[in-house]
Amino acid sequence: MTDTLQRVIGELVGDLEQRFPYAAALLSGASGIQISDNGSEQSAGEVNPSRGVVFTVYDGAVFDEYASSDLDPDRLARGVRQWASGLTRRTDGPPLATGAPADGSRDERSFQVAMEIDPTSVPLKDKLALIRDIQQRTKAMDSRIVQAQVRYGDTTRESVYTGRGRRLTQQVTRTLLAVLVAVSDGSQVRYQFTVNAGTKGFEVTRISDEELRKTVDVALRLLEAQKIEPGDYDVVADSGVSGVIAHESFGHGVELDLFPKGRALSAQYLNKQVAAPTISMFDDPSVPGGYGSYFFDDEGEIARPVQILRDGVFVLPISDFASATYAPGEHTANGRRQDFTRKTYARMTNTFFAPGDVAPADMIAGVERGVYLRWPESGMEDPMGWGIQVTAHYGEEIVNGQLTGKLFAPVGITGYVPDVLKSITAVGSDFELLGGATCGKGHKEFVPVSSGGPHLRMKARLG
Amino acid sequence: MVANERIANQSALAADTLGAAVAATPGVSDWQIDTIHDEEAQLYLIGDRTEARRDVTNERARVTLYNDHPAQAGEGQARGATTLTFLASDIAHPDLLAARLNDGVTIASLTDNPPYTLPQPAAGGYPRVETQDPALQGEMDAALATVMARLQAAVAGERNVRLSSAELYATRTSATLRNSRGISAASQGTRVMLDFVLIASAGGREAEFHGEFYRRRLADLVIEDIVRAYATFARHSLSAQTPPTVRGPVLLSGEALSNLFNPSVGLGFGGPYTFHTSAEAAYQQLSRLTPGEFVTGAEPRGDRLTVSSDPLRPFGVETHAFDGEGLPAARVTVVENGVFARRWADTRYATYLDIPPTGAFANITVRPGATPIADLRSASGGPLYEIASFSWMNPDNVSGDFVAEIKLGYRHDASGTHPIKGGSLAGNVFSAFADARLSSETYSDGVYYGPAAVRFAELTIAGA
Repeated sequence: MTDTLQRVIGELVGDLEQRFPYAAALLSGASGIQISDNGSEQSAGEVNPSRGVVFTVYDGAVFDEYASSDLDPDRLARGVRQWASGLTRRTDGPPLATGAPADGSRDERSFQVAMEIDPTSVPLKDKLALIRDIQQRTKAMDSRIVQAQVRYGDTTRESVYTGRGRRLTQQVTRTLLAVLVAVSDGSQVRYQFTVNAGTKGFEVTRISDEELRKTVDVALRLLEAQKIEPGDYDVVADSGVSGVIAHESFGHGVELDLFPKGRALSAQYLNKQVAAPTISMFDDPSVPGGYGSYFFDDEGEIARPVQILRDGVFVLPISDFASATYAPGEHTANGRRQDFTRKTYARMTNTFFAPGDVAPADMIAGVERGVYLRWPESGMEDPMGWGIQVTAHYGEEIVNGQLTGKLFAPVGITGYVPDVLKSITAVGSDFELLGGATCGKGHKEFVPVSSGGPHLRMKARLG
Repeated sequence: MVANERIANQSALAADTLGAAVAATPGVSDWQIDTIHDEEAQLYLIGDRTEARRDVTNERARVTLYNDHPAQAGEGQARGATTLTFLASDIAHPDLLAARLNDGVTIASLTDNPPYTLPQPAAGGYPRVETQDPALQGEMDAALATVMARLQAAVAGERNVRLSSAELYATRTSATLRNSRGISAASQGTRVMLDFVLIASAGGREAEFHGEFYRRRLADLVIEDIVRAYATFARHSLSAQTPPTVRGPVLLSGEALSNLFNPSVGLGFGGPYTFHTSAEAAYQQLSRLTPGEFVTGAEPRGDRLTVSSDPLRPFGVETHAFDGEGLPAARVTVVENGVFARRWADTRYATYLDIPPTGAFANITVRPGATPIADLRSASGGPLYEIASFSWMNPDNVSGDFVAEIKLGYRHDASGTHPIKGGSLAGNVFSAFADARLSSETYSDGVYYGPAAVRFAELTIAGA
C-alpha cells in the first residue's frame, strides 16, 4: 500500500468531506499462507488477498459506496471523481454523529498484533515440516484412522481507515491450526477435530501428543455413537457450545442494524430481564488474542468491549455507523465488512458469557440424568422469533452425576431464547474462547469470530 | 472460444504481460492463468427507504504454478502447485512480478503430490451455454431499481405483511482461462441475488420470513410469485405451533428439500451427495459409496433416486461451458435408480483413481417421481408433517447426518392443515431415501432442479 496511493486517498476523502456530511475510505488487503497436509496430499498457497479500497459517502439520506480492486492512483482518482459527480447532498435522512473533532485535530495511529512468534519469520519449509510432523504423529496413533488432516493458516489483514479526522492503520494477524481425524470401522466414517486459533502468531501450532490422542480417542468413540432420543434434557454445555448459544441468542439478536428493520425482538427488551440473573454477556473486539479481535473496526471506531447483558438484563446492542443513528444511539466498534466488495453491518467479534463460580465437574456431578454437550458445529439465529438452533458435534450421557461414556451424535439444540437463558442454573468458573470460526449475516457476509465463556448448566430440547 | 472484446476494452489487467512473465519463470512445469472481471451493483432497502447503494469493480488474475521435482520421500517424481492472485497494480512492476512468481515456484517445489497433468484443448470445443441476462448488459443500477419497485408493489398488495428490508445485487462477470497445455477460453455471465425479509402482523403479534435467491437472470426472479409465497409463509408463522416429538412420515417441500441436496446455495460448495460421489472423497477414503451399490445401503422400498450434475442447464447458477480447469461441460449422472453410478472427477483425482475426468460438479438435478404432491400429502393413515423451510439445513458432509430447526412446516390431519415451527428434524440424507416417494411436480432454487417434494417414510421430529 504505497505512500502515493494513501496520499491520493486522503485527498479524495478530503474533497468528499467538503461536499457531504460524512466521507471515508477503507483500504484493505490480506497476506499470508495456507497449508494443508493429509499424508497423501499437500498444499501450500497464498491466502486470498481480497485487496481493494472502498469510498463511503453519506449524502444526508443514503450511504453510497464505490469499491474497486484497481489501486492505480490515477485510475482510482478518476473513478472516484466520476462516481462522486453523480451524487448530490440531501437533507431528508437521519442525521449522522460522525465524532469528527471540531478543532480539526488529526488522530493518526498504527496498530499491530503482539505475537510470540511472527509467522512471517518462520520459513515455509519449516511450516511444512511441522505440519507434516503433526500429521504423521496423529496418523500413527491408531490403525482405524483413514485420514488425519492438518490445516494451518496465517493471515495478516492490513487496513487503513481515512476519515473523521482519523488515519488509522492496523495489521491484524490471525493464525490457525486445525487437526481433523477421520476413522472408520469398515462400515462408517466418523471424525473429530481440534482447533487452536487467535489473533496470535505461530505459537498456536504447539500441540501436544496428549491433545492429539484425545482427538483420536473421541473420533473412535464416535463410531459407537447413537442417535439421541428427542426430548427435554438437563444439560451441561462446554465453553464452545455455551459460546455459540451466546452468539446465536443475544449476539445476532442485538445487532442494532436489525432494529430499524423491525427484525429484532430484543428492541422491546432493552433494560429488561431476559436471562437468569447470574448471566452477563459481552462482545469485545479488544480481547487480546481473540480470533475476532481488531484494533479498530471497518469504520474507524476504536475497539472496546460492549456489555450486552448485565445480571440477565439486556443493556446495550452492538452497532455500526449507520445503525447508531437509531435508538439507543450508542455507536460501538462493531462495523465490519467481509471485504471491500461488501457493505458494513453491525457484527459480532468475540462473544461470550462471563464466568461464574461453579466448577464444571460440580455441574456434571449435580445432574441426575442428562447430557454433556461438546464441540459446537454450527448455529443459526432467529432475532425476531427468538428461536435458536445450535448443533453440537456430540453429547455424552450423564447418569447420577457421572459421565457414562455413552455418546450421542450429532445433537441438535433448539428452543426459545428466553426459556433457554432463564433455565441456566449454574455458570462455570472456567473460561475459554473458541476461535477459528466465521460468522455470517444470514447465509452470507462472513467474518472471523470467536465465541465462548464458561460451562453452563441449563435445560434444553435436544434432537 | 473467442477472446472477449469487452474485457479487452475495460480491463486494467495486463494479461499478456502476466502470461509472458509466467512463461519466463524458471521451474514452472505447467501453469494456468485465470482472469476474472466482476462489475456489481448493489441496492439496499430498509422498508421503503433506500439505505445504501454500492458500485463494485473487482478484477484479478489467479496464476497457478506447477513444479515437478523428485519426491522428497520415496522414489519418482512429485508435483507441487500453488496459486497466486494479482491485481492490475501488481503487474505494473516487472521486478516485483518476477519476484512473486519465483516465490510461487519455491512454494510449489516444497509440496509433494502424486503427479497429474492438466487438460488439453477439448477436441470438440466447448458447448454453447446460456449464462448472460440481456437485461443486465446496460445500466445495472436502473435494472435493480425496477426490480425493487416491483418488490415494493408486490408487498403492498399483501394483507398484513410489510417489507422489513431487501438487498439486491446484479453482477456481470467476464473471465478467461489459459493453461500451458494450450487451452485458451473465455466466458461471460451474469448473476443476481435477492435477499429480503417480510414481516407479518396480526393481533399484536409479528413474525418474519427471510428469503434468499440466486439466479442468472432478473426474469427468473419472479418477484410477484416469490412475494406471494413468502407472505403466506410469514402469515402462517404467526399462528404456527411447536410440533410434538414424533417419529414417522415427513414430507419436505420446496427449499426445505433442495437444501438437503444443496445446503449452501450461494456459497459454492455442495452437500453430502456431491461430496460422497466425488473422486476426491474416494481418494481420501471418506466416501461411503461403492459404484454399483445402492446409495441407501439396502435396496430402497420407495422411489429410486437419480442424481446428476448438469452444467448445461440454461441459466442455471452453476451453468458453464468449461469448468475451473478448462474441461468441457457435460452432464454426468452420479446416482441412477438408487445405485451409485460413477464418480465425478477433476483431472487430478481422475488421474489418481484412473477414471475419466468429468469436470466439476455443477447444477444438481434430481429426477422427479410420478406422484402428485397432493397424493403424497394425503397418503397417510395418521398425521403427516411437512417441512417447508429450515432455519439452516447443514448436513454433515462426512456422515450425512442432519439436525435442523424447523422454520416453518405444516401438520396435515383429518381436521385440516396447521402451521408448525420450532423443534428440529433429524435424519441422514442417505438412509432417508431408503423409503421415499418423489413428487411429479418440480422446483428449482437456481442450482437444484428436481422434485418439489419428497415424502420420507421415517424421520424424527424433536418437538414439544
